[in-house]
Amino acid sequence: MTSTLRRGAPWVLASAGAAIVAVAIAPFIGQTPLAFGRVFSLSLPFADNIDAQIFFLARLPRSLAAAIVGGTLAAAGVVFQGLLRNPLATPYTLGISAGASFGAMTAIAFGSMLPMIGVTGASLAGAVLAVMVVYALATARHSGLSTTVLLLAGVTMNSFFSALILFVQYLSDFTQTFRALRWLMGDLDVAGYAPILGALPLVLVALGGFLWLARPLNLLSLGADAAATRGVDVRRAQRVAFFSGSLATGAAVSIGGPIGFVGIIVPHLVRLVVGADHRLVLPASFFVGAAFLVVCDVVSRIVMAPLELPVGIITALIGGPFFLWMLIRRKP
Amino acid sequence: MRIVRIRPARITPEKAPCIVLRAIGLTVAFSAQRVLDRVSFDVPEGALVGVLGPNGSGKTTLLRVLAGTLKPRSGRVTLDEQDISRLDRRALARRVAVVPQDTHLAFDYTVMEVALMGRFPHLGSFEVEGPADLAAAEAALETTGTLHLSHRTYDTLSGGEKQRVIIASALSQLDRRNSLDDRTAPLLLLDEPTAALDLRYQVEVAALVSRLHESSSAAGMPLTVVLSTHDLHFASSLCDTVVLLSEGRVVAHGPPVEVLTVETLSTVYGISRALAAPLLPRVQA
Repeated sequence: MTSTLRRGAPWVLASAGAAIVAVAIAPFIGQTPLAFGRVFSLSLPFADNIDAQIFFLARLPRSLAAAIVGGTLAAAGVVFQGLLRNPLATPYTLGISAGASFGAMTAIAFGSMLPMIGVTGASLAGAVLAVMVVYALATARHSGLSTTVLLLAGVTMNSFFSALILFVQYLSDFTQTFRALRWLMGDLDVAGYAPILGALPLVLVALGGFLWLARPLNLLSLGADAAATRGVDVRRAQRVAFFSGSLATGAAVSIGGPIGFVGIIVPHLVRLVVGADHRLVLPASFFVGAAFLVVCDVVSRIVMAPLELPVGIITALIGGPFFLWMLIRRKP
Repeated sequence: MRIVRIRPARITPEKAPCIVLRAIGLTVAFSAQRVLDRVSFDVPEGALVGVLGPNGSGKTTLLRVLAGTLKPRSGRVTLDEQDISRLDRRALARRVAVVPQDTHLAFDYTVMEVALMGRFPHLGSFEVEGPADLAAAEAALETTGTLHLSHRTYDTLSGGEKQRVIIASALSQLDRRNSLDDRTAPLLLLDEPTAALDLRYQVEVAALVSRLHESSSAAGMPLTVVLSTHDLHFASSLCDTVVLLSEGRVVAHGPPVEVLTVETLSTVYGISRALAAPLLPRVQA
């Protein structure tokens, strides 16, 4: 084991612990105070136990959703940064969130016409559409993935889908527009376990891909050719990175909407502590991202109580200045 | 253009080393432009071969084809009589290591981590580096005189230090200490290893390559080296054979004193004989 791995491993464990503690404590914080004894009381039947109902039906799913979305977005950010060899890349750089948002907008505006898939399903479908277009463009003229074309295609898709979103909103009425806006701000009010359970299989498949990717991503940061001469199957690694990163992002966005900046703040802070090795950065980012979004969600619920802010506003308020700071301090 | 073919002179028939690397009719074309045109030459085990030629003559392309990262339109490269396109990436990487002109890392890896990247083809998908891999990386850093930098971040090093660390990464890649499978001769490809460096680091890296080559033969595990360069003096003082490329073709091939003549240089580089003469390396007795 390398000395970096030895030094970093305790940090990964600590971040896992932090994530678990955050998920467990967050449901106790909120407008209605909950008593620990009553929530887990066995003498009171669940139907009569309001504390337990609030805990298990409203706040725990929300806290779990925040953890899964935060962790997945942070880890996906690491994967895209590795794939594009750019620490300023985010899970949304390649247009996935714009596609997902377009899907969700369409479902909100024309939901009566396509009732079977719902907003979650439609956002996933939009993400898949965006991913396919970007991939087709990036592989059209090269045998491997061209990261330059990937970036340009992503930026173009982002603005193209934004135009479509505005168009759909223009056609919508006021209530639909308000719902759509709320969704776009990023919102973890999941109201139950169904969205989590729906997205979980996708997240797990993506995380499996991330595990395999950790070492190839280390070598890819040397550049595609140099990685290949060290024995990396570059085309396969890029494809796994692109599709598992997209799957994770699509799943996360389908739960919580396009919550911004988690995928860039968290990996950057994690790298400052554990170094650059993706075998540490990936798991640590997942856990820190989970804890970070759970905390942001708690803040969003209490900072202007009884008003609940969309969590995307909190992450953007922290993330915007952070991103600028990164941009300025970055070495040329 | 006149094609000069000169047999490598130093090889005596009774102890002719086996051919490690063979380029056979390599042709590469990007759209209509032919970058390499039927390039063929042999590299014997333990040789130090320099690939020379003007900008755009195909040096870098040739090295990419030899490394297997670029597929030729026609022709093939064999390594110990095996076609490299039939070898899998990891097997090839255990036998051939490449040092590019300069290497930028996207993230802040330490020098030790960069050296350990060379161990990739020796490890399974989820395997963690063991003591043998650490020893290989340390030995490689020691050889290149960069062991004292092992905890530094690669990005904070000087150009010469960076290039020595990348060479260390390549050496740790060719280190067979924990694999029993192949006893094939290791091959090191360097693409203009000194081009991005100033004079002091050029000398430093050139001395390192020459020292590596000599000590490997002394240790009985001769390292075969193919490097491309612009530097005629570097090539003639270091290499036992040079391949002169022009417009994708091999113009001359043989010992430096025979290849690097006023006539070939003035033709290949398109300069007058008067200009070419002072460029010539001193002819060794």
